[in-house]
Amino acid sequence: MAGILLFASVYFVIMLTDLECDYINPIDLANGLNTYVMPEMAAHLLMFVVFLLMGEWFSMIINLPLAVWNINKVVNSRQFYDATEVFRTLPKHKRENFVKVAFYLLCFFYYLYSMIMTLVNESTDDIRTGSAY
Amino acid sequence: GQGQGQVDGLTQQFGQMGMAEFQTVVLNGRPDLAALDETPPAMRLAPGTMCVAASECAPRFQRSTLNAVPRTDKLLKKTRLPLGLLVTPVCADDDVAVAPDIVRCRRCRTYINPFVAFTDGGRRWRCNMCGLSNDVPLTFDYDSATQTQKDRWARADLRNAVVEFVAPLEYMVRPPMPPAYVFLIDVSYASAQLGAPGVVAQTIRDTLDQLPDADGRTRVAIIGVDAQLHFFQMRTGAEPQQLVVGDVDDVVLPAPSDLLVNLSDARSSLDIVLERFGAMFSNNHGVGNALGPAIRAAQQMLGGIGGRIVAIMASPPTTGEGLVEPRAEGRDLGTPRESELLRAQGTWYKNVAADCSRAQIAFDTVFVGQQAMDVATVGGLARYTGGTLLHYPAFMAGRPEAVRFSSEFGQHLAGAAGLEAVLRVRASKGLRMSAYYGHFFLRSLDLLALPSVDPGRCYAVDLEIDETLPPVVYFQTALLHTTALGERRIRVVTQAVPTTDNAHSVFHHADQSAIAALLAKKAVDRALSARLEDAREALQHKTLEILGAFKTLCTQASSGAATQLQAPRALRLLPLLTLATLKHPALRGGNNVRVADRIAAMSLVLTLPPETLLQPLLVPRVYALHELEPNVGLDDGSGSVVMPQLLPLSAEVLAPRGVFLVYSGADAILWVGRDVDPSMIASLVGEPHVQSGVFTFPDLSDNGSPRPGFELNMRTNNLLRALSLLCHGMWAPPMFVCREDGDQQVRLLLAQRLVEDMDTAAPSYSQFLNQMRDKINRGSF
Repeated sequence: MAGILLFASVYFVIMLTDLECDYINPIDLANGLNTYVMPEMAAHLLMFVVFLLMGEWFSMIINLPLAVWNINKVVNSRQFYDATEVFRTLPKHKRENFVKVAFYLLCFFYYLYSMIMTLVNESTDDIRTGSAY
Repeated sequence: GQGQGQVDGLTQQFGQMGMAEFQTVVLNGRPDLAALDETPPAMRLAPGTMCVAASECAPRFQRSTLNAVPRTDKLLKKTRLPLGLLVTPVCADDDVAVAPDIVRCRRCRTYINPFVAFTDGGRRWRCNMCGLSNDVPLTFDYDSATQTQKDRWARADLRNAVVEFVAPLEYMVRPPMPPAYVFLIDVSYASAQLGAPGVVAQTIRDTLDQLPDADGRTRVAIIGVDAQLHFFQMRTGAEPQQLVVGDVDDVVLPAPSDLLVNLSDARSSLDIVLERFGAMFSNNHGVGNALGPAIRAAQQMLGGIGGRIVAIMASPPTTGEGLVEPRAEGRDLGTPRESELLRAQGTWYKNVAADCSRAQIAFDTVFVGQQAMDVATVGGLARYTGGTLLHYPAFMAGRPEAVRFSSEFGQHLAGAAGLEAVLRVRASKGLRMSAYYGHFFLRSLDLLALPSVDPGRCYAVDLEIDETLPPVVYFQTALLHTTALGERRIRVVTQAVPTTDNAHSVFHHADQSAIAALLAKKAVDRALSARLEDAREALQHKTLEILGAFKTLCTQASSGAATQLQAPRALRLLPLLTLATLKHPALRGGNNVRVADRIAAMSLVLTLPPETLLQPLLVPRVYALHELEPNVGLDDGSGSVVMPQLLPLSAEVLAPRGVFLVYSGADAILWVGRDVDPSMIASLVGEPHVQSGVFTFPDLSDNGSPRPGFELNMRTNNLLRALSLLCHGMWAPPMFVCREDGDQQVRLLLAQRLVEDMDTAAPSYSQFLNQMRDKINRGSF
């Protein structure tokens, strides 16, 4: 899940830089990105809810700011890209997406680390309790 | 060669001019209104700059806010002046030289212009924007068709700052498109009450002859819009048929062809339809307006070719897709919530505008009547496709306002617009374009997509300095468009502006009209994207900053208090222009400007060039008609009319015994004093007494020559005609009579026009100056 989110945010960054370099026009950008905005938010929210239900408090807390930010955007109807105004807010969008890339990357490695730690702990527990035999 | 000799002559002339332009004036009392008609400050190009005598760029095409640009960003920030460009690429009745072929720089793609330097014995030319040395094509000096030598300096693109090229095939993605017009006319109950269908159809019928139709390919379609869509099938040789489509949820054109018909072929059918249109819908009781489905139908009709969709609305779109619920505005006017009402509701119209600009479809939106139609949302169609927004709240068939509508709407349709256009502004190395203002679609960081270019509409650009600039900087605007005659042309406007290290020079060569126009457009843009209060605050603060920076940098009393406010001569009207902008309905505070009126006013501010925007729209003209000089109002021998003296814009000048004309372009007010001599009124309008209210100024002359006793009438009519020409005939202003002791509403209207006086929204001119002086003295800005 984290990998998917990482790819999605990298895609956004690439599209925005393409717009800046004049490879695509704002209408294509808006149409392309707007189809992925809601799925990305839904995926992140799903991950957040899973952490909540599984009791992974630390993971849940670090994802909380982003979840709140997304909900805030939806409430104010600001989540979609507007082809007529995109150039005005381009630096802001780019910065936002760069931050998301960095955040998802760090989260990905954190989840990977915690998954490995869990697996290692499980196998050492198995060794200690002798259930591997 | 010839060019070099002319350069030497010019530099000699410039050197001999004195320093008279570095004057500082003290701002007090009355502003010097005559300054608005002055030409912008002269530009002193550095000696050795390549230029040709006729290569001064006429200000009506392109104006820079600063005619001496600071060389570094640091200096620009210190002076606090805005650096920008105001471009009006297509003016009404302009006469632009056509160049034979296109020569561009290899690297930066700049078009060759009068300011390039020829090197290497005339075999190479150095681009003035990027400095690259390009080869001169052989066709410059030798005409192979007639086997004769050519004088390269006779080429139009080396002689003129404004030149037009005929674009070859590389500049077209498809053959030049023919004009196409689809009229979406609201025929719902609200519109029928106003009599709009009849008046609109009549106006279109009268204007059909003037629609551009040079090669007979122009096409026209008419769609009546209420809760259903009424199409008209006009087959040649058959009676036109009305086809009603009731299912607006998934619009399908009722007939495969003959809805969008060729103007010349189907002219008789069109005439029949337009003649009967009014009668057909005069008793229509259908309620609802299916504008969204109508737009979809029009898009299908125009297909991949593109064209112009003119939507005339008298009610909000409440049926089908794109429906908007008009927002109640009563209690929100004058509060911070008003700024919310200025923004579009939902994104349907913006998305349609974006799609249509891709298909080269431009929208004109015309709003008639008083009903709330959510102009903010629907007007976005015009704003993002380069079209025009027109607004006639007082429209009613049979009243003078309908006549005004006919004449202005007809004028707008007949104006030869450019089609499928793109505009790009290039500047010298070190300058960057940061923002654009006007009606257009921003296709990429520096490319404006204009499905339609109306003559006399201006596009403003904000510039920023990235590196230290060379001694002269150049601005080149290129507009690639299809003319009304079906030819693909490129209009190129090149301008050279000197740079300076000296703050004094920057201030004294600032163009106050351009600065005021740019600041007004920025303020409107700010109001539409942030809040009205922020916009007003920022505008006022900017003027304060400019005058404060002048005081700090250029006057003796650079620190410490000064008793009087000083300004450079070139900026002496800036406080008045700022005050006028703050009092204009576009930005005005208070709670008596309706949202629709405000949006229409903002649209005007965003699109008009400085010449039409500042005077008379922001700063109306006041003339005393009862004491005209003997030669005023008459021909001065060269075809233009002698104008009377401009009076200050204050109620103080309105003498009880006098008759005054207050002309603001969009309307005209005739103020009649309490003790006026009835015989003077009779000589002016034909009767000894007039009532307050709307008034049609009669023409009592005998085919232009004065009838005895009505001389004043003839001269006033001449004046009105000359004033209308100043605005390029864009408006047919209604006239109101305001008696000193008459109707309250008209007196209120007049009070809004008298910019120098105090009113509920803003202080008077002298109060404004005092406030600024105090703030600058305190250093609190």
